[in-house]
Amino acid sequence: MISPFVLHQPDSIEAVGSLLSRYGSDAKLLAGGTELILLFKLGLASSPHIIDLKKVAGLSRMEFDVERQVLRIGALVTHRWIEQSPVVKDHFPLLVEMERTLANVRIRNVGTLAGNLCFAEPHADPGTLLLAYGAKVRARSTRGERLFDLADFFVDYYCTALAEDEVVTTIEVSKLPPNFSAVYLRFCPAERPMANVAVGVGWNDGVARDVRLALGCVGSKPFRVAAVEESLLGKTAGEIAAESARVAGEAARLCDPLEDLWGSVEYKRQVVKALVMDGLSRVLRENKTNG
Amino acid sequence: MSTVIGENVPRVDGQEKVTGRALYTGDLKLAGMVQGKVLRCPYAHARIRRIDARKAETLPGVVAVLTRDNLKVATPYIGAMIKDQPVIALEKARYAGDVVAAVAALDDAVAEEALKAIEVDYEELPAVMSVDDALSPTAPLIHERIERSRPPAYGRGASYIAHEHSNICHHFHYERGDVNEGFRQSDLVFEDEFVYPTAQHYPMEPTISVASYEGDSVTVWSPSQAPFATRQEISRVFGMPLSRIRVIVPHVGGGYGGSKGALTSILAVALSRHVRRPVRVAFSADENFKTICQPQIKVVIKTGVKKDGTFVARQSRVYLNAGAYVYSTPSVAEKAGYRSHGPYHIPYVLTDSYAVYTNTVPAGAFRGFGGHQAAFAYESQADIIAHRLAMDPVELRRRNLLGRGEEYAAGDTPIDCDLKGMLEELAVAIEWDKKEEPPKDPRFKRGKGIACAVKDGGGSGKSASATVRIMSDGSAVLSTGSVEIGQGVRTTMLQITAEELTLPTDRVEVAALDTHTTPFDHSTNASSATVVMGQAVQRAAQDARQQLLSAAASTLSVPVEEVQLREGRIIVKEKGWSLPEIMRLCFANVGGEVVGRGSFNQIRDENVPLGQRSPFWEVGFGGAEVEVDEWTGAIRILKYVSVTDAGKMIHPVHCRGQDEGAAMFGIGLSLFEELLYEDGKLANPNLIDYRLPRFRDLPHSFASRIREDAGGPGPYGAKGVGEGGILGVAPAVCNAVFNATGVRIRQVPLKGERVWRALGQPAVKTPVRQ
Amino acid sequence: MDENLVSVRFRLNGQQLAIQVPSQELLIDLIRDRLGLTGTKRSCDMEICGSCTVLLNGKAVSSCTLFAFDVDGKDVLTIEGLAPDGGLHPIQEAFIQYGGFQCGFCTPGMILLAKSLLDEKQVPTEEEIREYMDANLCRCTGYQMIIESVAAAAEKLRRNT
Repeated sequence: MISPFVLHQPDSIEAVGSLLSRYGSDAKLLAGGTELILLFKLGLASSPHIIDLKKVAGLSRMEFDVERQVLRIGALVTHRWIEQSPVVKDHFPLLVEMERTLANVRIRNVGTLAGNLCFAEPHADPGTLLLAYGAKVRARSTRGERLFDLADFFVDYYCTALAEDEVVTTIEVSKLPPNFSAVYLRFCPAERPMANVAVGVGWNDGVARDVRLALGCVGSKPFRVAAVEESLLGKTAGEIAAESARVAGEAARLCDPLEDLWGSVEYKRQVVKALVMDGLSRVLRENKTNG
Repeated sequence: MSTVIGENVPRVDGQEKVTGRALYTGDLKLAGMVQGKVLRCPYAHARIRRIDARKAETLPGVVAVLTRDNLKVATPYIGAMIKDQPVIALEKARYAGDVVAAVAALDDAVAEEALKAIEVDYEELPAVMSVDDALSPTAPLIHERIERSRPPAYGRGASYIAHEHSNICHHFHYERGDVNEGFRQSDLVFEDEFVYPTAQHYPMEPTISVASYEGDSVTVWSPSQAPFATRQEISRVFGMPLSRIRVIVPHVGGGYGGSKGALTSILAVALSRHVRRPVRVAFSADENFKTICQPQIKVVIKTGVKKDGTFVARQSRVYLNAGAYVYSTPSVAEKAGYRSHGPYHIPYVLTDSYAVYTNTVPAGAFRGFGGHQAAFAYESQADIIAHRLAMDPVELRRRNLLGRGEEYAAGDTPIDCDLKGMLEELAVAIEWDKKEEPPKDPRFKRGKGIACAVKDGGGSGKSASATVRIMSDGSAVLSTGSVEIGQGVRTTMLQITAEELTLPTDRVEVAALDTHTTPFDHSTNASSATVVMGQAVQRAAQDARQQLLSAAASTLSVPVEEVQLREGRIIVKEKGWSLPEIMRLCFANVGGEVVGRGSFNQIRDENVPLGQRSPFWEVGFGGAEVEVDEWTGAIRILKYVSVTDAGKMIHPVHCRGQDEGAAMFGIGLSLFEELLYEDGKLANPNLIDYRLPRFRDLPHSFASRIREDAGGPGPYGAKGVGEGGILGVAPAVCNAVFNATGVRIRQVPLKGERVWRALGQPAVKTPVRQ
Repeated sequence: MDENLVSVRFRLNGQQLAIQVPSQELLIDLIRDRLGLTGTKRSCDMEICGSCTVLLNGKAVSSCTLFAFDVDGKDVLTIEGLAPDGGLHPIQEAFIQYGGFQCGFCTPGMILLAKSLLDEKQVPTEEEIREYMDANLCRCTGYQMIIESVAAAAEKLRRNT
């Protein structure tokens, strides 16, 4: 049973900031509620105050800044909105692909991307892909504004770097550079993904100049496998292909999955290997077809 | 002349269901109704030293708390074959989830608070979670005393063996000839072990019952597949005459054999009798998981064959994990045992089937009822045999399948359909002989597999009655105790009634199911209704028709042989009367009714091993084409074909719905459904960790082929359909996996890790340049 | 006024309503208990099965995991609102004709989910139907007959316009 709470429905970001300053840990932010309300129902969370963001002006916007080549996704933008946006499809097709597989359409109609990132559920889709995009998170409080690199935003299981009095206002996603091939893959035998990977390579003069490999669901937070990325820089497609088994094995070694009802640690590392191998193959194939 | 048999008439409950008007038990609101909730033991096995509900009782909004201390009943035990489950735990709790107290409160929130305020002093006892552990000589006895409600009445070839001081609660023994002689005659002997998981029925409607005790009587609303058995249990437990108990079955949101409402109905009556107000006891989804499950079954199967593949002897040992309370698991044990030699000619058979108590969620009936678990064993082994003999698996089946008219077991109903024809149809449908292109990427392997299974259908010891009343305006009302759980049975019964009375279907109504006014029916299960209740309904309609003809003959002063009923009219030579006209003539006053009665009872037959002839043979032949991902062990079913026989399809769309639905159940059980335990407790009592089949799991090529071999004992040659589809799925899929990879997996579900390890943990490799 | 009560103004099945509900009340309980519309069902209670599906501004949502106040200013459609005049919507007709349900418990949610698809895409392919409808669970039908029902409904709607 959900305990009664005082509902606040502020209409500005400033008002949200004031409420957060005032109530601190006695208040929780509500956007779509697909995670929070479920926790409340299961008795795993409760709060005497709820700050409903849905009436706050300015959070329901999604804009592509052509000049800076950045997509700004407001905190109230739902997964479904992103999934169906022609602008996102044109400039960020992987984002559309990822959103299409997320949970189910009912959750996507209501749940927000920002809410998903703030909840920091380890078995989630968006974080992994957005890391590969080098996304940033903008948050506000009465003390001002902070801009986080997504990599710094995730701290631990269900834990972000947000202070108690901060609210996320925008997610900023930079378009992938030209000559960059990328894929997003996930392995999801049950309800939530067991492992996912976002891998991409940017080419110049026939060699890899920009390598991004993000793994998710296999640790306390999604992460870029920096060691592997560095090891592939300056290599040709052929060289990368020849090393892909080593790379996959290295990525599997560097992740930290937990055993659960769906797989042992050893099996999950195997799945990571499979995803990384598959991802690399697709990226290299795409590069070939793009000449 | 027109017929409605074989017509896809609009289902009687269709409009209600698609508009949301259909009322299920949880939709009912009675004035003054309070909410019932239960407290569950968190330990797998524990003595209850003390239970104190005083604090809970005093909470505002709490109407009553029931524990062993204040539960006043004639007998506290319920159960099917064995009355082993106390309504509320007495001296001990036997599984994590066992009910130790019940509260009634003004709303759910208060009820939850009350549960938290009940103090229980548990003394944890050693627990056994597996059959092996329960059978060990040092295992704790889960039930100190086993009281059977009736001794099993087997016939020739079968016997019941009692085990004292054991967790074995049922042992079914069945033999045909001397199996050791059979093995001596065999050229090769195969011995294998197979395991089929425990699973949750997960009907979309969670278990719930409402009871209203007033004066000396009680009315109960419950989504039960056996409302008359529910009435019987209430009568026994509370010492009330049957005539004072009324069980009404609203719409039911799925059954699949899960004994829905068996426990909640008793708890609701107990609470309502105590508080003298209507009480609703509604289990949440996770509580459903903790109430009943499918027994996990291990089959140790030993088969002797000749070099040419002819089956000679089969010995099976079947072990069922019955959980803490047996429900119908002893019956499942019998059936799994009886079905373990499959649809084949095998001269020598020996089967021992054991239902064993453990400290896990009680197991019971589940769609398939031992048939699919037995089939998993014998059809997987059949392919092992075929492979060893370098024989085509289809050819091996061809050599051994029973033909139409041949005996399955001495004394029992012979095979009533063309199994060999079905095998050929299956092979063609799955394109068995077609050489498929292997996938370009060597990481993926494809293969095909088939399986041939049957189960004796129609149930045992069943008794069904029905009445058909022809009203003064010529319309008719059918009263039948068959429960509509989605299968379309009430529509089928309406069709039979309309057909026999030559009425259009919109002139026939099926009355609501109410044990006060509906004649007795044993239960809706075992794919039996079309055959068992169908014959009762047909006879009732024919009885009504005959009475009408006699009344007309008498009124018109003609011999009854000259009176006909055609297209809803009484015809004598060239003259015709509409039914309203005839009714007016026959019954001088306005009004009057013709009441037709019919019944069907299965009679005991000493010559049959199970003590009764099987009404019919339900067929479940399956063919699967799968793709295996060697890197992750993930399995995709690309194509699935189910072949079965309905005898005669009274409603083809409903038959198809049943067969496809059953096959999807089989797919879930084969690929991802299993209940898991950790620290003595269910680890996955929810849909996040217990995966049900979704749209994405529907194979892109999925077909149910339902034949009409006209051999059914039901009306118009019909048989039951509803469980066949589940029988062949697991072995067909595992046989396909073997065909694809050369690896034999002997346990389902085929979750990724299980498959990957069985394959030898293939490494992720750089693919060879294509 | 109890500080935990919230005013909610919304349209339910075409009718304007203004009520006050406790802040923590769930949409499904508002619909089933407070307003007595029992067509919307509770099953898994955790947004997975979709038996509780209603349409919110035309979009399929899980009423079991939304607050009642979340519908403020919005349009809610429950199964009772699909064919309010006693007739049947073409989707309902198609489900009856093509065996798109058996026990019926998932059916109100499934039909509304289908409506939200067909409102967006008049002629979905079988693959599109399968992918979209994957949101909701059915334990009886095995899904193929639901896909056929939705395809038939699409055809009926196309012919009606």
